[in-house]
Amino acid sequence: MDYVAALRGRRLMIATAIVLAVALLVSAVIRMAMPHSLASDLSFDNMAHEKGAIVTHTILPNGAKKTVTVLPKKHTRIVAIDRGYLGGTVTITRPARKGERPTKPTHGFSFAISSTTKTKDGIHSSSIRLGGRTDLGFFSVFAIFVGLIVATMRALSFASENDGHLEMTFARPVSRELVALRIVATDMLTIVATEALTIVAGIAGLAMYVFPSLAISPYTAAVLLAAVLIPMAWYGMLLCATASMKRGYGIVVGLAWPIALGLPGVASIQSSLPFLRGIQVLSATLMHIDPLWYLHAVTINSDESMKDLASVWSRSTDTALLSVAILAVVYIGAAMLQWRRVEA
Amino acid sequence: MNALSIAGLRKTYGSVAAVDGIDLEIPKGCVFGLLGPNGAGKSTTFKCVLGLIRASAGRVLFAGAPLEPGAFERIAYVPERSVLYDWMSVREHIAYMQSNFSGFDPARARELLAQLGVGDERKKVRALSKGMRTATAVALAFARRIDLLLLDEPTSGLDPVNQRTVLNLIINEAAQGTTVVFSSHQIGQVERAAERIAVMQRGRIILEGVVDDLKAGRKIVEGILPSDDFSINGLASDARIARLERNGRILRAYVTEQPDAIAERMSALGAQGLRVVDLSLEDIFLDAVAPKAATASIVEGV
Repeated sequence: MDYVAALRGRRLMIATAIVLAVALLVSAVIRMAMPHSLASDLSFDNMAHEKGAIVTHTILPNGAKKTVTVLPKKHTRIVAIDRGYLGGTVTITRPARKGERPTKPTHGFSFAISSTTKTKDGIHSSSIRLGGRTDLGFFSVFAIFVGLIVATMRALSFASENDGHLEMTFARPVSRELVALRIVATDMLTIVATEALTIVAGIAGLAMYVFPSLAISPYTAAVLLAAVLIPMAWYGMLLCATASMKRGYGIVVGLAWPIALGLPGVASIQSSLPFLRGIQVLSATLMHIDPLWYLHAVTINSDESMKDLASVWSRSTDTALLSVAILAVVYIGAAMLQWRRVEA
Repeated sequence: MNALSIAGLRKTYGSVAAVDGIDLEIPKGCVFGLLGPNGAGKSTTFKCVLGLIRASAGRVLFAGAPLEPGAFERIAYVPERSVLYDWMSVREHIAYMQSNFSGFDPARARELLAQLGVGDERKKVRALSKGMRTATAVALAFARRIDLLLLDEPTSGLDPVNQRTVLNLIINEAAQGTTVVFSSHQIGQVERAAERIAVMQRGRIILEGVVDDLKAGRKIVEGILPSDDFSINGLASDARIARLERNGRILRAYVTEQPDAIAERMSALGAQGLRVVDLSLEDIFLDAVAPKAATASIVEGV
């Protein structure tokens, strides 16, 4: 571990922890403003006040509160099971409207809410569930973005040393290669640690509202791997771009984000003009060496079920993650080769 | 075996030679002063020697062996400008040194820092004055067990008291067998501490030797002439006089041998108030780097 990189990493960890703590604090304030558990809001209490509504309350053997609301005029029956902090379900059944089809299920990984609808024998049934299982991969997606920000800051490690400290950095009883390796390893640890912090904060945030029932799937593995590899490749790319710079490196890093994010957009330009066509081809090629582009491998739609997530790994992740791993190694290797030749 | 051997060291930037074929042999336990005007190539030489910049040519040996990373355990270097981390505290720098050098003594570092007036270890480097930064760098270097100490302007920015402290540290360190190579513009300091010196100019060594040897036999004979335009015909061509300067009525002869005989000649010419003084290192330095601009008008075979 490199002492200076570790100190820089610690400062970054503290900054990340402060930002996450503030976010959690805001979340806690919002939570405290809510009088009941989230599940109690699913009981559709307002329906009970409709004219002719018949409401029955039962306490189930597991302690859950079951509320059945029947609206005879609407031929509607609402069954709400409130398990308090553990979540709950509400099922609404009513006659199906003419030509009504079931809507696509939504899973809302972010709030552990899922809903399904079905229409059978003229009866439409919709079910909302709160406190279902949340894939750990969901939190990792957030962690990747935090990791990328931290990677951007840590990618200036070599350039910061070049900017007036090489006489200290290189006058140590270790080879330059080892110094570089230690710095890179320390930075990687910092990135992974801040990502872990983000995942923990995400789970803590969820736990303020409902019991976090976490699930681990092949998708989790894919995202966790991506959470290490994509920021590592991004870090390597910026490290490589600034490894021999002594000043002005901030501009390179500042421009990297808009360029990297803009590449896929430019690559999708359809034009018959040779100039624009040339730019499109160039962007489409460069896109493959842009680590941010590989985020697509772990991007999911909110309508994907836990079962669907299992297929994400086999869908596209293998190649994408392998590519991004190769990019990380090549970029970091190139950065180290450059840096060992920098003169004080 | 010499602590440091430099042979044919050369560093060029394009067509400009910052260091132009330096050869030096520095014995173990010696205090070696490197003198030279700004831009002479002193700092570049230090960096080349330590491999911090790649030499274009030449060979450097530390105790007979080429420089390897492990050698930095026994070599300390204090560069001319502060290379400390502004955002780190003095205490963190102590921890940094401790994590990198097995021979670093943090208690000794604290003692030296207190001695040099850097009392508060919690202070960030950015809050320290230039002198205090230099003092911190010097204290950190002297708190290590080392064989070779390279100091590039170690007293730069220090007050006179701390300058004296650093000089004493250099002398004490050498007394314990450490070889010290230092550069300074304060020639008086070099004269006080160094046994050997080298004078650099335009990347070359133009004068090198033991200080006492350089001064041996060389004297200044000074006298006051009866008038500004008094003739000193024939004196400038005396082979025993290296240089003759005339500043108004004051006549100064830099003598390589027989100063008393020269004093008699000047007396015979009518000069009064004659005195023979030792040549200082400053005189030797100025004579080496800028013989024409050294002092007053030079008498060219009047």
